[in-house]
Amino acid sequence: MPKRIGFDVGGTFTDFVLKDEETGELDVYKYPTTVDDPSQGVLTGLDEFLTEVDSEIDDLEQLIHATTLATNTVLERDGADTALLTTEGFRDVPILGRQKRYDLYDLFIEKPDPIVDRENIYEVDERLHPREGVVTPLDEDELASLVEDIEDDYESVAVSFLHSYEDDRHERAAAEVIEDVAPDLYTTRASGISKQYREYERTNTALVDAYVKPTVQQYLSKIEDDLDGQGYDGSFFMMKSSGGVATPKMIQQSPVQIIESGPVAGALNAAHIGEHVGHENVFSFDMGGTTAKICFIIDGQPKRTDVFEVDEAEMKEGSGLPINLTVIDMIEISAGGGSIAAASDTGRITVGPESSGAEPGPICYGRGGTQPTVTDADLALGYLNPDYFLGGRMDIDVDDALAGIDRDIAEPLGMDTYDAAWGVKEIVDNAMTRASQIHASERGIDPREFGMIAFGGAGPSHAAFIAHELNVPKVIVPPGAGVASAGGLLVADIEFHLDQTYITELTPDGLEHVNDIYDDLEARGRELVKEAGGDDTQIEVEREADMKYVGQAHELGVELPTGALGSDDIETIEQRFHDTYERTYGYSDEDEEIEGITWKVTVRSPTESMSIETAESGSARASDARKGTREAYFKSAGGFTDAGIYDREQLSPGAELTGPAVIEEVNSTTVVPPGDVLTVDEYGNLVIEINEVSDHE
Amino acid sequence: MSETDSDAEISIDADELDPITFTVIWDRLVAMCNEMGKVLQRTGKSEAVSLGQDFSTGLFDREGRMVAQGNFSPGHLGSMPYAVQHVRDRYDYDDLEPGDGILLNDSYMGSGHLPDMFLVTPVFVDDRIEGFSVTIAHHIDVGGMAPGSQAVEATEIYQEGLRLFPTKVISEGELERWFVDLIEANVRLPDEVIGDLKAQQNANHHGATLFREIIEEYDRETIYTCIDEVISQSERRVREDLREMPDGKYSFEDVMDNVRVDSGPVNLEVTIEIDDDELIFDYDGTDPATQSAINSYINYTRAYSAFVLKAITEKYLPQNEGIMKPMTVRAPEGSFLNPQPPTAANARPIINQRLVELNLGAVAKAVPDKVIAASSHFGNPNFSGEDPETGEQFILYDFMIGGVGASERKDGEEGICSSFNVTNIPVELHETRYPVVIDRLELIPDSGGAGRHRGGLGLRKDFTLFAENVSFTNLLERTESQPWGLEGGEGGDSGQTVLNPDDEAEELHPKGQFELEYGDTVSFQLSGGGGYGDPLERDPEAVREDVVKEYITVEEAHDVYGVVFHDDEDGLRVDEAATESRRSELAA
Repeated sequence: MPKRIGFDVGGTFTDFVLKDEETGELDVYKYPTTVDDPSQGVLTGLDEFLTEVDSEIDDLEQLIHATTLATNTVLERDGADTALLTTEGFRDVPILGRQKRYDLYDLFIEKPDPIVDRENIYEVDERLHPREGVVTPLDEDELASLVEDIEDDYESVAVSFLHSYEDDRHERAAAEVIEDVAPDLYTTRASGISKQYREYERTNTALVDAYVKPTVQQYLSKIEDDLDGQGYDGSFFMMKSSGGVATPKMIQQSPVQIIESGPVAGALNAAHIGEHVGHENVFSFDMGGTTAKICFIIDGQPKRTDVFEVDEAEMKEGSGLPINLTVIDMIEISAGGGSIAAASDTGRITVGPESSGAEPGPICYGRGGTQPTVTDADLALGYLNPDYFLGGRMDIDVDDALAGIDRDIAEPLGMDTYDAAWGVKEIVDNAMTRASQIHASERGIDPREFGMIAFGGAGPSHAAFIAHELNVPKVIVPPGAGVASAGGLLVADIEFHLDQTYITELTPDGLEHVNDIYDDLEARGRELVKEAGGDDTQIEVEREADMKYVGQAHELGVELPTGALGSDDIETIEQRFHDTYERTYGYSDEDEEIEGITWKVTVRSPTESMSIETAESGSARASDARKGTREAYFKSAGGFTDAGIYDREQLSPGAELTGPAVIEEVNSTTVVPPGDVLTVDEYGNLVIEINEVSDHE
Repeated sequence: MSETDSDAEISIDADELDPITFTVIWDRLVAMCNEMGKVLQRTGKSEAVSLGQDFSTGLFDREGRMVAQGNFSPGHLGSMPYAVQHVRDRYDYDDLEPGDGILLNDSYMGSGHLPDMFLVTPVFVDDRIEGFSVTIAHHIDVGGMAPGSQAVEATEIYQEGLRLFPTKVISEGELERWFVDLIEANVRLPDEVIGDLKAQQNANHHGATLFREIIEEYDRETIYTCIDEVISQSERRVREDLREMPDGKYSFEDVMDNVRVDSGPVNLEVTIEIDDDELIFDYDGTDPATQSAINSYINYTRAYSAFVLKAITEKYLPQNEGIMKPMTVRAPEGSFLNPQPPTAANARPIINQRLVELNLGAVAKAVPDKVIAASSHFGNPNFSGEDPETGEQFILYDFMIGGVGASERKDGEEGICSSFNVTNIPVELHETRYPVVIDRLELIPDSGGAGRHRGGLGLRKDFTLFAENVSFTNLLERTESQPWGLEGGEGGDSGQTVLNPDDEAEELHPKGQFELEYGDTVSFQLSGGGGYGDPLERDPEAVREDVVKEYITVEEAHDVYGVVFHDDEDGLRVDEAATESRRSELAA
C-alpha cells in the first residue's frame, strides 16, 4: 500500500501529512518541535503518528522533509566556526555589503552582523580579471601553509574569489589544496553554488552555505541513521528553497539550498490545487501566527527569483544578507494572527511587526498575553467561534479580548470598541493588500486576473476581504486549509535549477557559446536528477534567460526555446523580451539592442501526478450544514449583522450559500463577506466569488 | 500660483475621517512613491540610476503640497517642493494636458546642480489636474566642460552644460523630437540620458495611474481630507518633538577644505535656534560663494537642513509637507550656501555631508543623544576615456563610502552611507564594463577616531586604468581637516588621493582634474569617522576585539587607548595591571 509522508519542522510545531496514494486519503498530525535537537521531535512524532494511523514504517514508500533549520542557524548565529578565504585586497567585501541605508533618516542605523567577523577572513594571493585574464596566479604553497595554520580553529571554510562566476579555476585549485591539507574541514566553493556576478552577494551565499553545513549535515545524518535502523527502505527527499526536492546527500553538499525550505511547500500546494480546478494563474495566501506569505503562480508554476535576503531587520528590504539562489519568489509580511495591535500617538492604529507568537499568544488564549492581536480582533468581530476554537479543544475568552482592544485602542483613539476591532482587521488586511500589490507590480502581474488560494490558520478568515481590495474575482479555500502548507511537500518534483552568467548580445556567435553552456548545464541537470533517483526517461527541461537592454543594469527573465539556438531564434527571443518588458514596465523599446546575462535551466523529473480526492459533484444543500447564526461585524453591512454559521465537514460539493457567513473547521475559519457567493466544488474546495462592491465604501 | 481652489469642494471635516480610512490612504500614498522608485530603478539605464539609486520620487496634490515621498536621496527629496513650485509658477493648469511632462534642471530652481533633472507630470482625473507625480534623477552627463558634468573648475553655470527652466518636453506621452535632438547635440552619452529620462517617464506614469486610481476609488473629498490630516498630523508631531528640546541658540563652525586647485578653506557657520516648536537654521557667517563649481544653491541648503530636522525628530515618519513646516532656513544672499545665478555649482554633492555635519555639530550642543560625530567623507570620482576594447568613450563613475561617526550609544557603523543614500557598485561590474583593475577595496586600520565609542573606519580603493588618455576628475573632502569627534572623542584621520602609491607615490589634489597615463593607479583613501567620549574610558575588551579584527593596531591600543596586552599561546588578552598604569600615565 503506497503511503507517503511529508513533514515540516516549524518554529512551534512539526506538521506531518500522510497520503494514501491508493485511496487519496489524507491524515495529519502535529507534534511540538524540539528546538534543541529537532531530529528528536521528527523521529518521535513520526513514530506516534504511525501508531495513530495504524501503520508501520514499512508501509511508507516516501518521506519528504522541509525545515527551517538552516534559516534559524543564520538568524541565531549559532552555526559553525567559519573562515572565509578571499582575493588579496578584498577582505572587507562581506563587511561593507551594499552600504545603502534602509532607513534613510536614522543616524543610528545598524547593518546585519556579517556571517563571519573580520578576523576570520583571510586573503589569498591570486587574481583573475575578465579582460586581463590571470593577473596573479594562485600561490598554492602559501595557501597550503595558511590552511595548516588555521585548520584547528575552524570547522568550515568558504572560498570566494573575484570573477569566479566566469572562471573558477583558482577556486577549484584552492578547494583541492584545502582537501589535501585539511580533509576534515567542511568546504564551500562560491562558484560551486552561484555562477552569478556581483562579488558581495556571491561571497555571502558561500558564507551562509559554509556556516550551516556542519549543522545540517549532522542533523540529516541523524535522521537517516535512525530511519535506517528502523529498516526504512523507501526514498527520502528534502524540500529545497526552489520548490524542487533533492536527496539529503545533495543537500549536505550544499545546504544553503534549504534556507527557505520551510514556507515554499504552501506555494507548491497552491499551484497544484490551481491546476486541478483549472486556474493556472493563482496566488497563494498563507497567513499563520506571525507572518503572511504570498506567491504568484503563473501557468501552473510558482514564480522564482535568484536573489533574496535572510535576516532582514523588521523585513525591511535591503536590511538583510542577500543570497544568490533560485528560490520560490514569495513575499513575507509581518502580519499574522498573533500580530500585536496598538494606538499610535498620532491617532493611527498600528499592527505588528511585533507578534505575541505562540506564547503568550493573543489575549483571548488566556495564557498571559496582554496586548490585543489580530486574532483578538477577529474574535471580537464574531468571525471566530469561542466555543469551537481548534475544534473546541481550546477555550478562548471574548470578554478579555474586548477589554484589551478597548483599553489599548478604542479608548486612546476615542472610538467604539467594535470599530476599533474592525480597524485592526482593516489595517492588517491593508498591509497585506499593499504588499501583494507592490510584489505584483514589480513582476508585471495584474492580480485582477488571478485566483487566490487561501490557507494557513488565519488565511481563510482574511482572504475574501483582501480579494475585494485587490479586485481578485475568486478565492479558493482547500480542504484542510489549516495545514495545507505541509501538504505541499507531497506534490513536489525532483528538480534542479542551474545557471551561468555569460554576457553577450544576441548574435549567432554569442548563441553558439550559449548552446555550449546549455549543453553543459542540461547534462549536469540530468546527472543530478538521476543521482536523486528520478526517472531519467521522463525528464522535462525548461530554459530561461535573464536579459536586458544593453546598458541597463537590471534583467528580466525570458523563457527560451529548447534545443540548439540558431540565428532563426534571435527574432523570437527578442520579441519575447520586448513583450515581457512591456508587460512589466508599460513600455518597450524595440530599437534597443538586447543582451543576455544569465542563462538558466530547470531540469525536472515530475512526481507522478497524484489524484486529489473528488466527490461526486452533487446537489448538496448548504442548509444541511448550517449550525445557526451569529452576529458578525461587516463594515459594508453597517456593523453587526446575522451571519450564517456552517460546519465545513457537512458542506458537500454543489452546496451554495451567500454571505455574510462563517464556515468553521478544526484548524481554520472561512469568512464570507455580505453579498459574496460561496460554492463547494467537486474537490471539496470552498470557492468564493467576490462581489464587485469594495468593502470600504 | 496658476490656479487657486476658489471652488473649494472639500466638505468632509477631519473629525469625520475615521482613523482606519486615514491610515489606509496614507499607507497607499507612501507605497505609490516606493513603487515609482522600483520602476525608475529597474528601467533606468545608467549605473547612477539603476545601481546607485541616485534618484527620488514624490507625489504632490493639486495645491502643490508635498503629500509623500519615497525614501531615496535627501538632496533630491528636500529640494523637490521648491522645484514643483517653480513648475507651477511657470505653467498655467489650463495649458497642461494629459500626457504632458515638464522637465527642470536649473540649479537655482531645482536641486542645485544641472545633472539632476526633475520630471513633473500632471495627474488628471476627469479632465481636472488633481496632483503631480514627480521624479528626479542624477544624469550621467549634461554636457559642459568635462565628462560627467561635475568639473570643479567651472566659474559660471554657462560652462556647466544644458540648463532648462521648467520646459514641456513630453507631449501625449512621447518625448518631443526637438528635445531628443537637443540632448543628442549637447550631452556626451545621449543614449544613457534619454534612457534614464524614459525611466523617469515610466515611473511618473505609474505614479499618476496609482494616484488617479485612489481618487476614483474613494472620492476626492476623502482623499483631500486625508492629505490635510497627513500634513497637519506630521507637522504636529515634529513640533511636539521640538518642544521637548531646550530652547536656545546653538552655533557651530567648520571648514570645507578647499574647492579647487589653489584655493583655500571655506568657512561654514550655522546658528540653530530652537524656539519652542520652531527650528531655525541661520547660516550667517558662512563665506561668500566660491569661484568654482562647489557652491550650494538655497534649495540644496534647505534640503540638507530638512534632513537634519527629520533625523532628530520624526525619523521614521513618511516625509511630507507638514514635516518641513516648522523649519526656517536663512543664508546670506551670495554666500556659499545661497549663491545667485550664474554661479557654478555642478560639483555641489561634495557639500552635502559637510552641511549635515555642520548642523549636527550645533545640534549636539542642545540634544547630544540625538546625533553622531562627523563621518568618513565619501569620494565621488569619475574617469573617462576611450575603451581600447570597444573604441567607444566611457565614463566610469564611482561612489566610495566609509564608516560613520560614533555616538553616545555605540561605535560608528562600518561602511554605510551617512547623509546621502546610494548603493556601491560591484567591483566585478566595473571590471567587466571598463578598462580598469580595482586593486583593493579595504578598511584602513586606525583611521577611525578614538573614543569611548570608536568612529567608523575610512576606506581605501585603488583603481588602475588600462586605457590611454584617461581624464580623471577627483572629488573628495576631509583631506586637510578631520571628521570631528564628540565629548572628548578624537577626530578620524584625514583622507588623501595618491597617484601610483607603490611607485613614486604622488598626492593628488582632492578636487582636481588630471590626465592619466596607461597603467596609472589612483588610490583613494577616505577619512575615518569621529569618535565619541574619552578613549581612556573605552572598555579594554572592546579595544582588544578591535585589535583582533585589525580595526586598530596594537600600537594605537597602547598609545591612544592605553590598553596593554598579553600575547601568548592563549591568544591576545588584556593585561589589566599594565593597562591601568598606562591609562593613568596617559590621563596625567
